[in-house]
Amino acid sequence: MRLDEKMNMTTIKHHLTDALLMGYAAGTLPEAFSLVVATHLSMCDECRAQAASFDAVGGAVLEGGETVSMDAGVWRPPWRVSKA
Amino acid sequence: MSKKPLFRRFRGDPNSRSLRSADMLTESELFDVPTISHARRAHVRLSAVKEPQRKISKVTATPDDTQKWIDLMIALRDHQDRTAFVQLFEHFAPRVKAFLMRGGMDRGKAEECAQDVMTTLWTKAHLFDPTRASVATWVFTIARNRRIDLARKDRRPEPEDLDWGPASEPDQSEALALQEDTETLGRAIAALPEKQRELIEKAYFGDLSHSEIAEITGLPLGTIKSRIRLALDRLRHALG
Repeated sequence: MRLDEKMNMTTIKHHLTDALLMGYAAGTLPEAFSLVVATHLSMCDECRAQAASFDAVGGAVLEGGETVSMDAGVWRPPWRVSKA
Repeated sequence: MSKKPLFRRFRGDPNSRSLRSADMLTESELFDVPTISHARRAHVRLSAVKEPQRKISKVTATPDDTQKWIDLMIALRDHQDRTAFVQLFEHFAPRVKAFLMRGGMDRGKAEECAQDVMTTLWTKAHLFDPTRASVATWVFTIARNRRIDLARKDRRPEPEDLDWGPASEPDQSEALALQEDTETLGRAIAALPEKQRELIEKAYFGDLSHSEIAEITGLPLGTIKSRIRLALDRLRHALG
């Protein structure tokens, strides 16, 4: 039995705070915190869904945000980029 | 679009600012946020190359285009449609660039990084699943991870991946429902009192510490979270 299956047999009673999940989504958590969050998310769908929602907030911030035009002449079509 | 009430946390008319702010931050909470340390930006060196000043334009959010970007992304994913890629590039690359610059990255680095992000959009297109995220959300996560990669050697620890790619035949109605939630979320955030919206933006630009983020409360995530949670439950059943 995989570890996550084993864990799902028990009820997870402690959940991550919104501040931790938002920091994780924003990518600004210190390494040790990120590790704890990633570990918890591996086993807790409740928090995984909340974390995905905070990703969606990031998407909304990006979508509704400012733009800075890309430099002309350095357009790199990805189909011409060889894998480095 | 949606006739449903926005989110449970919002009382009364969701279009009324005064009511919306009821569950949000108070003025004093906003001003209690400590000064932000810019130390983490130290790794970003200023570009020595002088570039002409470019306009930073404020663009009105058009979250209702969500479906358009999905369609283009699927054309790219399933048919390697180059025209679709160009359209996605023209919309998202300038946003990613601005986003990274707001987070303290210099113009040249942000340009390069935005190019990388868009290339990843092309090379990882097969991983795009509209039941999981909108295109904007997907682009955001790629940009965030790229920024972290540049800022430190170690990657951000990721949760064990759930194997629910396009192979599991994405459900059209689920995708539509998620897009609707995404648009509603986008509108809700756009309509927040300016100070709170700025605080949220700062958090995502990387300008707030963990403890500063704790000051931001009451984000309207109930609906979209429930949707993702249901999708996860179905997936777990399918796996089990």
